Amino acid sequence: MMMELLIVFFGITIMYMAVTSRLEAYIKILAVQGVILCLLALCSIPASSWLILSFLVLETLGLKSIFLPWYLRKLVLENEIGRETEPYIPNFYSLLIVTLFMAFGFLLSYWAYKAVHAERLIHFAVSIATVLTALFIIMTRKKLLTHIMGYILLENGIFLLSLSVAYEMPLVVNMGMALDVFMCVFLVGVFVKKIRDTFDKQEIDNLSDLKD
Amino acid sequence: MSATTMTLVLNLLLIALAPFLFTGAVIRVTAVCAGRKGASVLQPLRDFRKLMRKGMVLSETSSWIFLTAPPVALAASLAAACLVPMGTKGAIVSFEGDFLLFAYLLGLAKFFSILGAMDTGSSFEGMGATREVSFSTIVEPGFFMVMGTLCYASGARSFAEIIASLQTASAWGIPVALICASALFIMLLAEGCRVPVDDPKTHLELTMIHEVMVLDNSGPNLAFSLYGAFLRSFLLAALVAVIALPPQWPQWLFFAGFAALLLLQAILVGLVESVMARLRMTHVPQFVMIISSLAVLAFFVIVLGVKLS
Repeated sequence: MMMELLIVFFGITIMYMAVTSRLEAYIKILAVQGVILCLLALCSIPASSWLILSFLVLETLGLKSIFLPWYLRKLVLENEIGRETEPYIPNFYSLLIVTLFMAFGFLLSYWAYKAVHAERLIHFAVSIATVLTALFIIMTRKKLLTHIMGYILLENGIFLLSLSVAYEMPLVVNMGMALDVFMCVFLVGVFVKKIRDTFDKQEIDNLSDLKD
Repeated sequence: MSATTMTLVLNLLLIALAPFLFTGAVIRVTAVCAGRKGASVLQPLRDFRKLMRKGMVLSETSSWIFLTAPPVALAASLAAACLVPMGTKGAIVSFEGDFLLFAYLLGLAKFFSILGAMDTGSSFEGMGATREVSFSTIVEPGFFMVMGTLCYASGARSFAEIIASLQTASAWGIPVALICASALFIMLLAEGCRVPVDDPKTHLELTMIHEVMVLDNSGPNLAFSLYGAFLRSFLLAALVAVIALPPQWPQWLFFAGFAALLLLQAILVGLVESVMARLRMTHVPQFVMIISSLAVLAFFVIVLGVKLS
C-alpha cells in the first residue's frame, strides 16, 4: 500500500516537472524525489547489512534531498539566475510528451514483465518514463542549471530502475552514480560562475557561438 | 423509511442547498485568508432569493434563445445532479453508463449557456464563450479518461457500482482512486471557474471566462445561471468525495466523511484562490491538460496492477 502510493506519487512529480515553469519548483521536486526514493529503497530492499542501508539513506536523503537542493538554490541566488526555466517549447507540449513517455514506459514494462520483479513492474515503468523525461528536459530547456537538474533526474530514474530489476542494490554502481552527479554539480557550479562573468546571462545559446 | 427513500430525500436536499453552501464556504475562506471577516456562508442563498424576486431586463436585439438558455442549462444540470451518488453512496437514478449521460448533460448545460452568451451579440460575451469552449475541449476527454479508468479498475459501469467496488477491487484501487479524485478536483477548478483557470472576482471582461458569459442576464435568469454554475462545481466536488472515501465504511460514517470532504474541498479551493494568481490565458491549457495526464497514469497503473494479480 505504502509502496504503491509512493511510486504513483513519484510518477506525478515528473509530470509536475514537465508542466511547471519555476526553477524553484524543480529544486523542490528533486528534493521530494530524494525522500520518495529513500522510502522506496527502505521498503523494498531486505535489510541485508547496515552498511548498504546507511549508504542508501545517506545517498538519497543526505545527497539528493538536502545537499544538492541546498547547493542548487545557492547557485541560483548567488548568480542571480532568473526564476523561469525558459523552455524552447510551450509547457503544454512538454506535458503531452511526458504523458506519452509515461505511456511508453508502462507499455515497455507490460512487454518486459518477465525481466522485472513481479511486484515492481510499475517501478520499472516509472523509471523508464523518468529517464526519458530527464533527457527531454535536458534537450528542451535553455538554462545550464536546468541541464544539471535533468541530469539529477536521470540519476533518480536509474536509481529507480536498479530498484526494479536488481535483487539486491548494486552498491558499487550506486556509489559510482552518486560520485558522478556530485562531480557534475560541482563542475557546473564553477562553470555557471564563469559564464556569468563572461556573458552576464545564463543561456546556453551563448555557448554555441564559441569559436577558437 | 426505506434506503431508497432516504437516498431520494437526502440527495434532493443536498442538490437544493449544498451548492450554495459550498460556494458560500469558498467565498468565506477566501475572505478569511485576506484578513476580512467575510459574508455568511448563506450569502449565495440570499442572493439567489433576492434575484428571484427581481424583474428581468431583456435586450431588444436578443431572441428567445437568450431568454430560455439559463433555465434549460439549469434543468440539464439538475438532471445531471440526479445521477451523482452523494452521501448515502447511492444516486437518485442509477443505470449502466450513467456517467456518459452525466458528461453530456453537463455538456448540454454548457452548450446552452454558450448559445445564450452568443445570442446577445456582445463581443465580450462571444470571447468568453470562445474560451469556455476551447478549455472544455481539453477538459472533457480528461473526464472520459478518468471515468474509463475508474470503470476498468472497478469492473463496473455506473457511478454507484464504481464507488462501491473501486477501492476493494485490487491493491492498486486506492492509489488509482486518489489520482482520479485529484484529477476530478482539477476539473472542479476548471469547470467551476475558480482560480487558477478563471477569477470569479474579476470585473474586467478581457480576463473573464464564465462571468463574462452571464453579463447580460438579470433577475431570475441570472439566478438560474448562478445556481447552475454552483451546482456543477458541487457535483464534481461530490464525485471527488465519494471516489476518495472508502466504500466499506458504515452509512453514518460515510455521510460524515462526505460532509467533511466537501468542506475540505471548499477550504482547498478557497486557499488556492488566496495563494495563487489566475494563470495567463495561454497557460490555462497546460493546467487543464493535467487531468488527462493523471488519468493516463492511473489507467496504466491499473492495467499493470491487474496483470500482476
